[in-house]
Amino acid sequence: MKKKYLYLILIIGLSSCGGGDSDQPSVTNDGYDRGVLLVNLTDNIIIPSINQFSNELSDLNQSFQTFSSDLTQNNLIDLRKKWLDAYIAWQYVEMFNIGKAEEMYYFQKTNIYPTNTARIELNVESATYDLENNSNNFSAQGFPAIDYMLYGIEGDSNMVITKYQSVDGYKYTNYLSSLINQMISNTDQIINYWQTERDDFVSSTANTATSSLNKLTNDFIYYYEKGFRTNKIGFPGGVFSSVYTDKVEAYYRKNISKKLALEALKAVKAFYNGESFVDGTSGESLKTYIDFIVSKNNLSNINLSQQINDKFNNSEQMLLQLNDNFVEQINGNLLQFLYTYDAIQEGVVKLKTDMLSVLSIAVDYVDADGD
Amino acid sequence: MINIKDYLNQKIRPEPLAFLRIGFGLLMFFSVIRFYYNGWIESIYIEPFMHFKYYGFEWVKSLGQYNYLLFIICGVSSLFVALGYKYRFSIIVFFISFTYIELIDKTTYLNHYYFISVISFLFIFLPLNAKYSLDNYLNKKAFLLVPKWNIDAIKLFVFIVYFYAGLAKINSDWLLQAAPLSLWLTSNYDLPILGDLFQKSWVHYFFSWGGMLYDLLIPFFLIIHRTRIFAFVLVILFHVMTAILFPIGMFPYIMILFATIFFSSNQFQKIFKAFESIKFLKSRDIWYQEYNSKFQKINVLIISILLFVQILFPFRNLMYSGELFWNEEGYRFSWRVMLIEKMGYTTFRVIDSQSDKRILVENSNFLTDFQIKQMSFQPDMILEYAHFLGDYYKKRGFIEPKVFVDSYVTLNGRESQRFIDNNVNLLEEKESFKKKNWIIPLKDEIKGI
Repeated sequence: MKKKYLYLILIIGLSSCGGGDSDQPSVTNDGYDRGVLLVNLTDNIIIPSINQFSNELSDLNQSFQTFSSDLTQNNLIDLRKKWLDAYIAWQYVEMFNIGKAEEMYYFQKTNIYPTNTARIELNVESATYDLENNSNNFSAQGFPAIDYMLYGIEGDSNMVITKYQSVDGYKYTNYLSSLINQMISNTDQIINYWQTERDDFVSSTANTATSSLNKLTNDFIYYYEKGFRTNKIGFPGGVFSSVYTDKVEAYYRKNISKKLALEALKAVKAFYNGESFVDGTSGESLKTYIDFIVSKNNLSNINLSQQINDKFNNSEQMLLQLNDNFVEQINGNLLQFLYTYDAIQEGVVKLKTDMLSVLSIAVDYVDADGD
Repeated sequence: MINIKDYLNQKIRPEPLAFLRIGFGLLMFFSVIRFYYNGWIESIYIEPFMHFKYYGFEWVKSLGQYNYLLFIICGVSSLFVALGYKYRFSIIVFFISFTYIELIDKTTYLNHYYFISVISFLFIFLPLNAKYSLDNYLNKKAFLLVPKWNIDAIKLFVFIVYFYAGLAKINSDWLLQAAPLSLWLTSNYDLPILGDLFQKSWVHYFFSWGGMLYDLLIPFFLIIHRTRIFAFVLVILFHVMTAILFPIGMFPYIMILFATIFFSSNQFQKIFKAFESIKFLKSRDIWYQEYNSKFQKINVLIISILLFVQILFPFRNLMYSGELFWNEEGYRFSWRVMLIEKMGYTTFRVIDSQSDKRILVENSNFLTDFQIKQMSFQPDMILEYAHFLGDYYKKRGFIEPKVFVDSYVTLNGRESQRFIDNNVNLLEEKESFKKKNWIIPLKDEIKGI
């Protein structure tokens, strides 16, 4: 606020000594409309992704209803399939940890892994648990918890069915029901948030630490570095300390870790390139924004936006060569897994240095004088 | 020689000193309040797990919760300075407390903090309380005249700050690429009216060249009587503009205040007329006399040395080969302001050569976001942090740790490149004034001073 007043005084001062030539309205735009950028990202990517995820959750719930009323092998197969579909859809949502999502720990409640099986068993047994507010339960809910409930509680699918059919089976059914309902009610809140906040969000085009574009960009980088690189590859591959194969995503299902990682990378690329979730057409995005600033300021870094895409594509190629099952990959050829990490890491470097610097995304720490 | 003696004996009315003292004390008081209000005492001096130290000042420790006490002392002493109450003692306390705070952690290094430390040290030897101070009433003694060189010393220091800041802008990035201003100005697109203007390339060049010329010429325009008012208006416009555009805190206001030292005593008369009409102050008996310090000779000596060092010290970078903006050897304490936009990404690997233990360090486990940002592109901080990590992991079972770093930095919109040699075990390197050979040279050349 203080700055605004200061600015007003300065403008008045300038125009009074400048002979009033500054009173013509500035209809000319600088050539880049950040409003259009935000609208594209919000309407064509964020909101449709979340809606799609919500639909998948409904399907999952329906399939669960069928399963719970009729505990058969076929119904279990369908339930597992719907779980996977929803999990894939989630890969397009996790990076938008913004506004309500951040406030209600949406990501933490949906995809913390490894899941805490002891906690899950405790909750199943006691039947009294608070998935909403108790942060100890973050790692006992969401997709990883369902992964355990569908694949991990017993060795094979027959034994899983048998477990659900047993005397105590209803306890597992109830917990599974709670897990799915919790995800649905969480997601409803997120959908509601975007319905009410969408207009404010896309009109917040300023360059401050709390403006939409800055938050989106920072969240995007954070996701690529932490949610994608660290969680999916870094932790299980032991990049930070020792190898922990149980830290792979979908540990109990086993052979879909690669698929989920590839989907997540697809989501990253689509967001960066502004590709519509609905029809794949490209619109304004971080990529076009980078191109705009690089060319306008005549920077030597002219290939930056393409270089970032190259890093993504290279990471994708590396991922494609991995075993579908990351546990087997890590046990069989850890080095290849770590090379994949390095490829992803090159993207992090580009995003966190070149891109942030070129876009001059405001981060409010403390005073600086540019040194 | 006689000329110098004559010069040292010249006397002048002390109004500019009194005005500066009051303004300085109040600004510093406000700064302390602002620091507290923004939560920075906590986030910069108490929260961090480790602090980055200035070479040779490793012994300066954070006082934990007692840092608040330090800030209170600093704030109260600055108020006393403004009032001119026990001036000499107060300015010494201010200098020590302020400088101690700055020395706790170099992450927050700013040229204007350094400016305040140096100037408050200079103030110790100058009679800023000669007139219009509480001391006058308590001691029943005030001074109508003070040595002219006292004021000139401040002028010279302000001159150095501006002029050297201007010299530093004579480089190819600043003048030929309009970097980094083009990046920073473009990002101010959201300002009404000017926001659109800042998108234009000629405006970036106009600001770059204008900024360079402003810094080089403004001290002369302030010195010359005929251009002084014009210069002062420029000072205000320029600094208010920078205050709006960049997050540089109190710096603009400090520089505006110090520009007033160039005005003659007569020009302050009006301000102090109002002051003198206060009845309470009028009724007191004050014995006016000429100021003669018992320590004149030693004062001259100390201040001469200080100013001499200030003239030479900023050029110490000439003793290092390589790109100054990249290596930052001899970069601080040299009035190089707003010259570089750097962004780094730096990760550390700790490896035990006696076992198979290895760690890729999560920086946020040890550093605040602000520390990570600053450390990531400053070689001395990277080295200090590497040694910190070495010690840390030695205590946690690493028998013979080695620390390697993967560091990438972008400078003024250039493509990022590797910054530190990733094959060098940083634990084998020691901080010193010697050239850091483990910095990988910038793949480009910046011409200029």
